[in-house]
Amino acid sequence: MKSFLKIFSRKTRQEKFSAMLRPHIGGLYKQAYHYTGNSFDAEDLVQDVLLKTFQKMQELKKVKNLPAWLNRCMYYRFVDRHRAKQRQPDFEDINNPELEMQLPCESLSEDHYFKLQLHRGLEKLSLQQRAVINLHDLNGYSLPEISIMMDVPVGTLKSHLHRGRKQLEKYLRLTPEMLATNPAHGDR
Amino acid sequence: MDCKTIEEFLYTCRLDELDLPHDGVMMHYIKRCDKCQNSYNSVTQYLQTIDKISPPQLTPTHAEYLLQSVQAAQQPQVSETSTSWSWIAQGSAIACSLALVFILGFFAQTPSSPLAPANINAGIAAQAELDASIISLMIEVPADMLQANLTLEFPEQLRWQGLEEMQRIAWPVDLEKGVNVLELPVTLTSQLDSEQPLIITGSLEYQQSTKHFQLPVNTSSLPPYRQHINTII
Repeated sequence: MKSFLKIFSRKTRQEKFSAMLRPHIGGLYKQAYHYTGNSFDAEDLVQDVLLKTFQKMQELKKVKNLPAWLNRCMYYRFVDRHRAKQRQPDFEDINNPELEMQLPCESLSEDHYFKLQLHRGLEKLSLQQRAVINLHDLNGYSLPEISIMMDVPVGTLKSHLHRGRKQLEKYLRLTPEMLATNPAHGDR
Repeated sequence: MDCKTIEEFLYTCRLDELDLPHDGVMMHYIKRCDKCQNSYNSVTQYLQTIDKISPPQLTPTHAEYLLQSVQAAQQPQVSETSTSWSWIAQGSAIACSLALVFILGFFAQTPSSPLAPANINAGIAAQAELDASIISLMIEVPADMLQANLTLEFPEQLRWQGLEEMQRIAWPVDLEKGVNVLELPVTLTSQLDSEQPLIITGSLEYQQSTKHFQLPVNTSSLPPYRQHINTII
């Protein structure tokens, strides 16, 4: 009977995992999207976080604040992936936003236009600035919550948030024409 | 109230927090200070723009796909762990037992080729190896097969331990490319007829393909059948 159960235990474990994570996956994806700037990389990042989480299933049962735990995991995975990507300078991203810039301006809806601005701006920020903007401004977490997630003092977060916002504002003021014709505009 | 306080507030405020009472001290100060008013307008414009951006949505189907993909990715590790644990825990505990090694030969196929029934039926190499009351089904497949349907039909005298009432058992298995080991405990339910061989029949169904097989069981290593006797104290 033990072996019989063992065969099914994998499935049960997966079911438990799915039930536990299902309510949070939308939020994770939203964050991942703002970290990466495109849906493909966002899905990859979410999948990566899910895999790591699945491996820590036992630890997960003791976690009191699961969303915060997942956000923390997401942030560190994002940082790891970002650093790994930087070590591959020749890697060409087929979802490069620069390529999207070449689309005719008329084809950009207002929403799409702002998204492009936002993600172009986010890419120029430091990893911590990007994370704070993402968690605070785009996902509604408070600074004390983010402080726990990122292991960074609130004062430092305030500074990241302020500088990040200042930097992003430059991008959010761009008109669609400027965005299409002058991709370098707004760089530091 | 001073510019520093306003600045501190604007650094971290949210859109709803910017809706300051008009007769409040903060708004009063902002109206009088050009620098603070500029900062206030700038932050308001930024937060309003951010607010306009629709959040990315993950469809329920896609969410489910992402959750399920974890299972597929984890399969090799889980399978290896469970196999090793079962050998450590059970191998020593069960001295006289049965193991049946069964290999479904899908060697000729490539992972990218669809599995046609003809291919599945090609080549089955079954081998009996006995040292535990565990049937080890070793199934080798050329590509990942998620949710393949495995059916086993036990002979009259043999049953899955704990499921003695079920002669036929079917369940979905996730097979990964290469050799997969499924361990099933068996038990004798009646006295063996030495003349009659024990044969487990079964099938593996994946997509539209089915492979049928027969597993002859070497009865010499099976633990003897014990009749249950009610004892009166």
